[in-house]
Amino acid sequence: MRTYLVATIISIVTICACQQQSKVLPKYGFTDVVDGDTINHTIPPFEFINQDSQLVSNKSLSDFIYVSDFFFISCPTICPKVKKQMLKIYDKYEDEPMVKFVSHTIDPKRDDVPALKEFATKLGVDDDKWYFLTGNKAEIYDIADDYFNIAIEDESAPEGFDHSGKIILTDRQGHVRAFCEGTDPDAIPQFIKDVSTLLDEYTQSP
Amino acid sequence: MYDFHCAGCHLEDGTGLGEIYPPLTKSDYVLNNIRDFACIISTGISGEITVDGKQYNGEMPGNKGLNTVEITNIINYMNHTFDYGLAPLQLHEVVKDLEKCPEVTRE
Repeated sequence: MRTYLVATIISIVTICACQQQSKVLPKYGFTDVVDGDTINHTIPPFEFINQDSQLVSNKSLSDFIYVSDFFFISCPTICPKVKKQMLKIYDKYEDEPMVKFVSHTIDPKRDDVPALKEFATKLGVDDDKWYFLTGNKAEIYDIADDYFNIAIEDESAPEGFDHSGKIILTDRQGHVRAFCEGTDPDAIPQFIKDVSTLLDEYTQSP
Repeated sequence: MYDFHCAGCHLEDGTGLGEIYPPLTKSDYVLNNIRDFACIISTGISGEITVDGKQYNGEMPGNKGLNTVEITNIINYMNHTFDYGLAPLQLHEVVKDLEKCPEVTRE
């Protein structure tokens, strides 16, 4: 009798809690089943260097949710547009400590640490809030895949690189939770809402 | 043409990006240097410039493939869209401006 009562109370509390929950962001990517557990697509371990020569890894980002993209400094076509939209998102969450921004260069040969530092400074952003990462080229291109981005070195493309302008939102467990087309200003308001939704997941959990 | 050749960096609304790409919206720089724009569009520009109080020091690539008619059209498009309030540039004025473009050496 007692167990039945406890179970009922737990169910009611759970149902109420679930109803109070606003929309939950999906976890994108293929899932795996390991030992009966469903594993969501996760960004694999990585280590890159930012504009201040600081090491940035999946571990150092594990306390943050972050907005990321792939670009290169000499990009004449989509990158300025994407950066402009990212700045809108940055302005919105500038004072929210849990949100970071991570831009990966797909041209590590030309975009070295000093070049990235200059770019970050000229863009007018906080070096501790928005990381501009460089590192091993193959690793960067590999991880672009995990972020559902495309990066290709292509001589016939403007300035030699072809890549997509997706902006990705990743949670503290390395799951991709939202994305949008960075070149589309109309897609940004929804993305900004998605960042809020994800923040709520961490700030509203018991 | 503006969208194809210029908006990539200066953006469709002409506002540019941070201190990387200067704006093309109405500014002291534009109004004082409009007769330099033919060369800027054609052969690019590098070095320090100040636009609306901000310093820029980058390198803008030229657009050698553009002819004088196209360049005139782009300048007049900007004049109209960004409200410079200047008299439209005439083709013969652009031709004259282009004769005086500085030599640009690139690495």
